[in-house]
Amino acid sequence: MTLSILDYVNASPSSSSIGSVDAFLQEIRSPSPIDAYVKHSRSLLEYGTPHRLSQNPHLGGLLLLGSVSAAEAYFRSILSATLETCPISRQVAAEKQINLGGVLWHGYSEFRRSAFEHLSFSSKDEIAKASKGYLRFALKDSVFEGPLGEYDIVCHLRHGIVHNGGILPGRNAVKIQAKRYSEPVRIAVNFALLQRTVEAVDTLVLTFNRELFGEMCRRWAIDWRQREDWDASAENKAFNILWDTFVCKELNKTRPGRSKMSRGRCLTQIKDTYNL
Amino acid sequence: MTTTGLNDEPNELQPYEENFVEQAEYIERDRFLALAAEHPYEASILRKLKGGGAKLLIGPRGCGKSTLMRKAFYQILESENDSALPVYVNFKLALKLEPFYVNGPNASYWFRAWLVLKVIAAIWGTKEQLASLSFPANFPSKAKLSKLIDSLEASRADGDLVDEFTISYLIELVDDLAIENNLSRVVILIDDAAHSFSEKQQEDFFDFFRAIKSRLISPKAAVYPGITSHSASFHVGHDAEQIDAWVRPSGVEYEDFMVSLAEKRFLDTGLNFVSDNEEDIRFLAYASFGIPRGFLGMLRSIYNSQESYTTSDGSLNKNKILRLSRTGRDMSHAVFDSLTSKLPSYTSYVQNGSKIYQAILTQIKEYNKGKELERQGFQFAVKSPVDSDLDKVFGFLQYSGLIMPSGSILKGEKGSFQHYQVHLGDITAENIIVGRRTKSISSFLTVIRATKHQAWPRLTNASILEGADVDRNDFVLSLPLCHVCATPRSNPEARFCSNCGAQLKPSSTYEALVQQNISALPISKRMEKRIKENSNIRKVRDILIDANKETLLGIPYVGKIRAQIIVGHAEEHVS
Repeated sequence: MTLSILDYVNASPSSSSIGSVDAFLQEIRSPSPIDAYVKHSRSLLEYGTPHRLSQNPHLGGLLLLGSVSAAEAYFRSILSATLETCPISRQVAAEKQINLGGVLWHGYSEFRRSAFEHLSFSSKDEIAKASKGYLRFALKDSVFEGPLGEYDIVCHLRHGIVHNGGILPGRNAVKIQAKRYSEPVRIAVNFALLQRTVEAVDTLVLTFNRELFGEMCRRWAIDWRQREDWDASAENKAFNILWDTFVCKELNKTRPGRSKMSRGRCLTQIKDTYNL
Repeated sequence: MTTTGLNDEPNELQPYEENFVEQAEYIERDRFLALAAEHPYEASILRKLKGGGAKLLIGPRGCGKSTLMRKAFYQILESENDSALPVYVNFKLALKLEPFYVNGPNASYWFRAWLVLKVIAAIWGTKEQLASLSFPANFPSKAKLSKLIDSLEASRADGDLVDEFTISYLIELVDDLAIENNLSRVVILIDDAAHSFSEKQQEDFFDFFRAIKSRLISPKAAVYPGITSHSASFHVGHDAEQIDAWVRPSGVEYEDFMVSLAEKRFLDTGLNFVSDNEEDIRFLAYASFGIPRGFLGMLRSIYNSQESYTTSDGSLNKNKILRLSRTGRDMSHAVFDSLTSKLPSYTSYVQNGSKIYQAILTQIKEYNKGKELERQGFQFAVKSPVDSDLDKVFGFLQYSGLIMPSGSILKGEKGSFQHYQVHLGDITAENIIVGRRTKSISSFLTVIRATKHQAWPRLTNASILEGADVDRNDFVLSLPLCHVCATPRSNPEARFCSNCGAQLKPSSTYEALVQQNISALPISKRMEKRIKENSNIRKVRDILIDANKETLLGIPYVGKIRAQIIVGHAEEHVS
């Protein structure tokens, strides 16, 4: 057997081909952003049992990535849906740039979906910046300091898993204030860490969903009505869009007191609150 | 629940009841200074509390931490050579902020704001004692601080109003205060710190404690042993030196300290109980196991029921004193048992802990069988390393004041041992050192005063568990069921229900504690009945919301002092 120098390190692999990607793409009907997130997140948790996680050291990390990915998808969806619904957000975002590829792919009717494709939501700063920059919705410390801080830690772990084979990079280690080790450290995502990280992601997503809904209701009750483009005859329709965008049908299925959480009651409470 | 405070109170208010109030924080400055005795290591402890750097004053309930803190406060105030400013703040009611942890996503933010507000409000407290203290123009008003603290404690705070009260703001404010008053140091004495029983809340406290430490600010915190969770970034020794406040119950110094405490409390009464019955008082001092609060409880009983404790010749009735000596250990056992309410997830540790403690007592008793009085022991040693579950139980026992650690001992090839002393009240009450038939105050004192106890039973993890008939698997965390579908948690680390996927919520310790009937407080049955017959007070919450004690003061034979004691018990109950 004649060996080339290259053969000493490993054998030559065969040619690979993914083939037509269309074979692997499926059209889906998207539920509301929050329901899509909850379904995605819960399916990851359901799979990440202590037994399975103990059998493969990489599984936990992959599930953690899935959780952050579900959150990123939520932020993209809720921001683009809000952009479409809220005239104030549209006004704020008017100066923003958009990728042509996204517009070409989604088409005119759905081009809003591409507005956030060039943004990453895998850090607290990016979420806060996008929320303020596109929706004029500032994430106040009194509500978001804790959830954003914990989410940021998850994102630093995610960075090590995605880009460094599960080894914690120095920059991220410093950011999350990890103590010093003499050897490289692997991010060991066991059952406890997976549960804690998904909880941190969940807390941020659910808090954002509640708070943004509250802000949109306020705008619906006050700000939108003061605009030239307000259509009083579409008042209910506008609220229905908000309701359908934000309400979490998945979690409300089992929530105690769910019979009192109807659209009608919510609308009545908003009208009472803002004296409409 | 064993009664420890108002256990023998007569109907009539006694003229010097204030002398026997156990909690230092409820006594006015002049009375406090007149009634406090000198702790055997007081000079050294106060030097550290008054000086620079961060310190943790550690000891079980009632061991005198508040007294030391307040002494340090007054001494700094009175010092003419020191340009330091003392600030005394009590975080006893930190658990009121627990609902933020149970029901909200941003609890650390609100708790930190509360801590900052409490410290600034306490600076107003210093000003009340030091009229010359000048405030910078931007110093927040007392009324504003009080309003914000109240709203945070009632879980209805407005983020926009408390937003400015950050740690940076506090540090800048203290800087301005220092410049205005030419101060070199601000000593912040934080009493009842990290008492919340919520692990996350305790961690947030230590992050706060670490963050305020600076060239100008020297924080000192009184904490409990055994139940305190430090944050990941807080390291005892590096971030703060630990000072032991629990006085060792041995030697002449200890006896003299407690006798002097008794003398001070009886001084105004004109009664000669102490000088006429010094050996009895010294015995009670030992039976309180270095915990002045327990000792004062016993003295209060004697003062309140003088006739029943004295014989015809005026001396104290020995049998009654022997019975009274149990109240100190009863108090510590009540504190231990209360952990089932305060740390409900550790219920099995508390229940098994009681068995383990009894088993240790039995092993010491066995060890003492047939030995001369002077050679009997009341300590034990456990071979290291101690199992994590047992270690948790020992932590709880230390918190309650039932065992006192006294270091580790190296025994050559046999390895090293953790050494502990057992509550002397149990040693006497359970006939561990003196037989049932021969027991007397003098025989107990002979054993306790024997110069050196160099021998004790050496136990192992296995022998302790076997003696208690407890299996390692008996230590289980009792975590709350899923609040949505009531499914038990599949794993202690689970944050989501394995059945319905809902995020699991911790149960609210604070809510559970304030909803308890007042019978859970260490007040006598007679007092409980009187309160219920003469007011609408039924639950602990009812006492805590009676802000000006108006309801309590409307009850017959409840004056200011008794009302304060009852409120004190209610506050202790949730701290």
